[in-house]
Amino acid sequence: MPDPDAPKGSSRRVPAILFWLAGGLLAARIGLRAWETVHPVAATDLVSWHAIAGAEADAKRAGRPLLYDFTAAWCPPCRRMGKEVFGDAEAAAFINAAFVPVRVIDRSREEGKNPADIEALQKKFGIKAFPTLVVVRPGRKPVTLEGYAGKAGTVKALRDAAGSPAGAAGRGRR
Amino acid sequence: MNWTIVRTTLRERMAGRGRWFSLVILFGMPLLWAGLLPAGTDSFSSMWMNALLIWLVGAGVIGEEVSSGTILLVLSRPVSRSEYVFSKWIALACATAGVLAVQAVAIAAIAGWRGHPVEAVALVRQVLEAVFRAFGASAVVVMFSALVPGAKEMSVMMFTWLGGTLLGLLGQWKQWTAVTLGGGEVTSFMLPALDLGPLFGGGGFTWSGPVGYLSTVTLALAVAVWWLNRKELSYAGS
Amino acid sequence: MRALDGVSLEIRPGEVFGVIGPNGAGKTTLMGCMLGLLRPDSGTVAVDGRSPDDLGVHAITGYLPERLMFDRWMSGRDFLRYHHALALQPDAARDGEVAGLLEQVGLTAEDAAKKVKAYSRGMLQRLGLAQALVARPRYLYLDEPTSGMDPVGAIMARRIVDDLARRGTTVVINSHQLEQVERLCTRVAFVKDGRVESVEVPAAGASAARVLLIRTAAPVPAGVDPGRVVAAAGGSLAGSTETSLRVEVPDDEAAAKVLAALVGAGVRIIEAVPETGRLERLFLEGPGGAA
Repeated sequence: MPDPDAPKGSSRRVPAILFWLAGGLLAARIGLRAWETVHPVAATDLVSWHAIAGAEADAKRAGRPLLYDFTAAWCPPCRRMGKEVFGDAEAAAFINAAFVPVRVIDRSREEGKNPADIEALQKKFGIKAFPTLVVVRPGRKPVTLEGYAGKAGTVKALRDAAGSPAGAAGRGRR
Repeated sequence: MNWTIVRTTLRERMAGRGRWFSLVILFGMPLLWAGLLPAGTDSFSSMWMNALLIWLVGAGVIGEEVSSGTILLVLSRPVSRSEYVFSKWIALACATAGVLAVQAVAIAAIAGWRGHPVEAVALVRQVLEAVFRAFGASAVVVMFSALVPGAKEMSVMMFTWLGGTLLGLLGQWKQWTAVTLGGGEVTSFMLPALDLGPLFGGGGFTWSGPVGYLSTVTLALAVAVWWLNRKELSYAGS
Repeated sequence: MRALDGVSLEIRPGEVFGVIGPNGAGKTTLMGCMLGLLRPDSGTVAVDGRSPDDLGVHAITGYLPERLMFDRWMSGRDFLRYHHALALQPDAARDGEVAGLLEQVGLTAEDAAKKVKAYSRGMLQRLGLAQALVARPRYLYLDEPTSGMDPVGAIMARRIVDDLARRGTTVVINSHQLEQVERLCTRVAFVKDGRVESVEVPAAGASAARVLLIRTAAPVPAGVDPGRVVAAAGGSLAGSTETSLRVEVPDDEAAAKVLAALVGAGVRIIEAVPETGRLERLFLEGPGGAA
């Protein structure tokens, strides 16, 4: 006679809710990815990007190095960098203060080829992959950062690149 | 949830001497770096080290029971196979979450002692992210451990993660979006994490973050349960 | 490759059911199916009307596997406590019941404190038996329970099984120890090449039908037909040699009559014993056993 306190059910019972959740979330995940690829999310970007035309002049006037962000709409690490670095209040504030930031968005995939100014800039700095950050200071070789090295790595590299020639001012937190 | 299995798994995980050695190294190295490297390098314990630690602590959590045959007796008890999988996950997740949380606090303490204190809020965020990482990666380990006998699932996982990374690089080089995304999905499956930036005022919230994380965890556990349910357990030979 | 083919068995409650057969016959597979660890490709297994997968059935089942694979990092006592808890036995009774089981299977407190990886084969077997008993099972499955045990251990195991059987536990035993099986089991299935060749009933109680092996000092006197003599007394002659007769008798009454009749006919009887080795015969000759 089955004991009312005894465990019930099969040892191979399936927790239906888990399978429903797994399936549903997987579908949602794939759907969201597809959506994001087609409609690239405009990250809440806190950096005040300057236009390409006139950026060099702005930099000279302000006495700050140029920071080029070579990026593309379809590039996931670019999106992550946009979110984690340019979307981060502290990092964005630093970038706005230390550089004249310029965003160079590659359109060759979507439009077949790039406008002339973008093409020229990519060629000038030998851009091979996205994202690539280039810091240009007058009279010095441009510093190139290829790929997204994570938030901390990127911020540190930018600080170093922005650092003054006089000693260790570029190190440590400010 | 079977607390007997949770407790016993925790004890069993602590019993392997070889594991302790690697654990001490993976736990201690970031602390050493925090003490020695120039301050300002604010991520001493990267996601990869966390993952390695979780993978190491979890190696063979189910696979060893299958290959040694002890799972036979456990499943002859009134324990459902799904209960078994869940309990293994919880045990592994709690153990690794604890270790990573302690590590984060220790690193913050060292940074503070060196004169570069970490903000309390930032520390809370790090600890929470570590906990999420622990629960996420543990689910993936449990899945691989259910699929692969012995403790070989470590190498399978490393290869999978490597494969995903290579796919991503290939996709970026050849500019094949699908391949890049595929590679990204594989690596984010192997290392599920939840970016708590949006919670802490960083903005930039996207649904794909939490959805991806929860999807990975539920999918991994579902696969583990499904596979174990189908597995015929025996050692027939007489 | 079929491990089991067309097996159809009914095991009655309270039986001690033996399963014997050559290696590779499918005995362990059969037990795996009974336990729900393996699922048959076709056909059903039912325990008390329920599927062997049912957790309620697991709760009243005990299993001693042939390959003694226990968690080596635990001590013997911890291992028993672990299974006591897994079997949903009450926490309060744990210490007492585990101690009782250890005593029952002959493991000292010192043994119990050692890690399982240090156990000898005999100790492992005892621990395995203890673990199978931990849930006070109504269905006990023993796969080679006395393999590797010394004679003392084997006697201990036999006593435990006898005791359980008396209390109504249904026991299924896979064994190569034919003597043990003959002594313990109410019915025995002989499995070969994945099929149940036959189900035998070993000589059970004194009043059951059995075969007597009668040894004689000299050949049967000429002119005496032992077959007719035996038949007239209520038995039947199953075989004869120069110095022995195999006689089937339905009960004690007939046995007494047969022996008296033979003595009266001039047969010089040295001894009459119930025949053993019937099970052994199955391995050599097959069911039915040629004389």
